[in-house]
Amino acid sequence: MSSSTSRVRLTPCSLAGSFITALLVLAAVFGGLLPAVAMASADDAGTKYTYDADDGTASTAPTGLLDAAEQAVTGFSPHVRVKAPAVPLPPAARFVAPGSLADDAARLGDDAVGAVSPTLEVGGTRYIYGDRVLNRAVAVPGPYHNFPSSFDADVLTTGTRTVVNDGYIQYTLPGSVNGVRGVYEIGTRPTALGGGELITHRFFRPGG
Amino acid sequence: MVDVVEVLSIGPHGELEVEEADGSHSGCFSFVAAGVSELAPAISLNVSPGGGSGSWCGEFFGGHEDVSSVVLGVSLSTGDGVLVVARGVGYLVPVGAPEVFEVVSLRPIRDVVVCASDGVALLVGYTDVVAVGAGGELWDSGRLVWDGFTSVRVGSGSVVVTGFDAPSGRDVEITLDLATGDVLSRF
Repeated sequence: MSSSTSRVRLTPCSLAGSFITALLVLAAVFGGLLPAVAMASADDAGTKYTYDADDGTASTAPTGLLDAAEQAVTGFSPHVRVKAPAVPLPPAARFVAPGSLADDAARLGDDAVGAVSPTLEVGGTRYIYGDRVLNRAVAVPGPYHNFPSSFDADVLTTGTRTVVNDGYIQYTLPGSVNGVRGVYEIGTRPTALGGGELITHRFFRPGG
Repeated sequence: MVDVVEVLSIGPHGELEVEEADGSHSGCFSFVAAGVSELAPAISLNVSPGGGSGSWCGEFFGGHEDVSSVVLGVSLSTGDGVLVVARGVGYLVPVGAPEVFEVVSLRPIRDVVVCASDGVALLVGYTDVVAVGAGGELWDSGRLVWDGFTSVRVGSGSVVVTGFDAPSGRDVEITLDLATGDVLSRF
């Protein structure tokens, strides 16, 4: 290679990859900033998210998990742009103030969530965002780990629900990110809470 | 943003030379995968098979990943080839017939790991690994982890990967046969 922007590496079998360090999120404020909207598409700072919906498409203020975390720290997010009137959540869905979960979280144990994790109530089920999901959204800030949280209600209600085993349920909904087709995935495990599920996996799988 | 193009090798490549081209040129081959933006190429390369003839330039259009690499010494059914990863999009290109290139099935590619002694390049995605070697794509692991690998190690005929397994709720370590992609162990 003659270009100054190139480097040559001829390697034998080698070690590659890197550990991704999880970062803590100020979930206390974070939960309250999750957008109470449902959408079929969103444009987040140049990233185009869509999912396949039966009721047409709507575009509104997009907020990924990472953006919400930034808002918690800075008080505002430069990424939020309102493009259309918000579409309300389905009647059965609502976000719950995180502070109300203090007692529940204590019962869930250390591996579950902090006492202030954000939650989402959809169809009578309380979904709690686990620490791992929040940490991954911060640690891997790309669109695949950080699609708008406002998609979650539709993934959970209209997506395909698969009981993988006693401790894991996966919800999937086809869609695309930046034109790349794939599947929005939300994985949960039942919690000690009555009817509650802890979100342990949240990812857009390209090509999935 | 100027990509740093990493040049790797998994086998003998004779007098083949590949270097980055400066800017856009007329008469270049365009390498485009479905769904990839064609506004600007991710990388442009001049490819010289050697012997003073058959040189060509190529503009490779890519995606959004910060991964661009060229792997030399890839033996294809149509002759000597190169594997070009342009911002996460992979192209297998016969050096002597670039117009019959193939797009690698795995997208986006997040890392390229080579094992020169085995003549294999591993393309690492978010959940799968694809091996490229003599003849092109050798195997696709299928889904191994749920949302990204924490490590991929190659050595002595095997590949060891780690990452999160959502159904079990924990990190797992999986060992694959480098030649076949078969899972040898899972912990």
